Amino acid sequence: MEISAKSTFNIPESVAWRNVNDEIVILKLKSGEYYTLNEVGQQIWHAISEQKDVESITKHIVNLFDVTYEKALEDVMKFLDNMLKESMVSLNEI
Amino acid sequence: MLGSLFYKIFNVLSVIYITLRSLIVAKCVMIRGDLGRLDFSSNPTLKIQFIRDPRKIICFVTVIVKCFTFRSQHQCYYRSYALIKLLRRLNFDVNFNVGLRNLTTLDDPVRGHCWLTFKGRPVFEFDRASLDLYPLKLDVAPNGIVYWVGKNDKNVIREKKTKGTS
Repeated sequence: MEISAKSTFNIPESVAWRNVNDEIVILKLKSGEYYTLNEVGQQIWHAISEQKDVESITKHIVNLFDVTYEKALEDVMKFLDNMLKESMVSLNEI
Repeated sequence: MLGSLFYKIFNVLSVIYITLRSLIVAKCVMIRGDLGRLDFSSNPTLKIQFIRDPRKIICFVTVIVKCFTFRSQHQCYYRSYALIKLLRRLNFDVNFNVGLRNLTTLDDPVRGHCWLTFKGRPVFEFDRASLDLYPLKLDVAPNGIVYWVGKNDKNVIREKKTKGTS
């Protein structure tokens, strides 16, 4: 299934995450792999956890960082694609 | 007399077998980098009989693990896994814990520790202070591993200095 502007995502139960030192640490429970996110990744992750769609996430990134909408969308899509490949998020079926 | 000797020899051989098998499994899992493959169930067909003092067995296992992993930086991991496999056979419901710290900094390398808990309290830990480095519980994995995370070492040092001066 392809990601669209109105796509939303879920964080599966097999993924645990917490704020540590003002950063996010993510753990894949099945394999014990830990991940950390940079500043932009954290904002996207928080937005995902609040069930925001891709368009809203991108606008949020544009508001926070000095970046064009197109560049923000490219980064957000890349991030979400990586998260989907790693099974750290799942796409909600519309 | 002979019966007692037989059980002693049987127990020693069983402990050695269980420990070495655990070390091999733990090594394979470490190579694959997938802690989800660690299995903590005990084999009901191989029981250790008539144990008077489990502490002697625990010391024995610790020595075996040290002998076979003396060059490893992950002795805590091997030791914890070998002990949990043994203790589960003795019907002690201990839990396997994994903690990592320095995950959000490039200044210090990522460090970790493995330890066992029984009813929520750490057991067989010679350095209990090291467990304070992993105060945040993340979650419990499907195979029962409890995952923890700690702060960055530099932040911990800074906090201690701040507390010391205030």
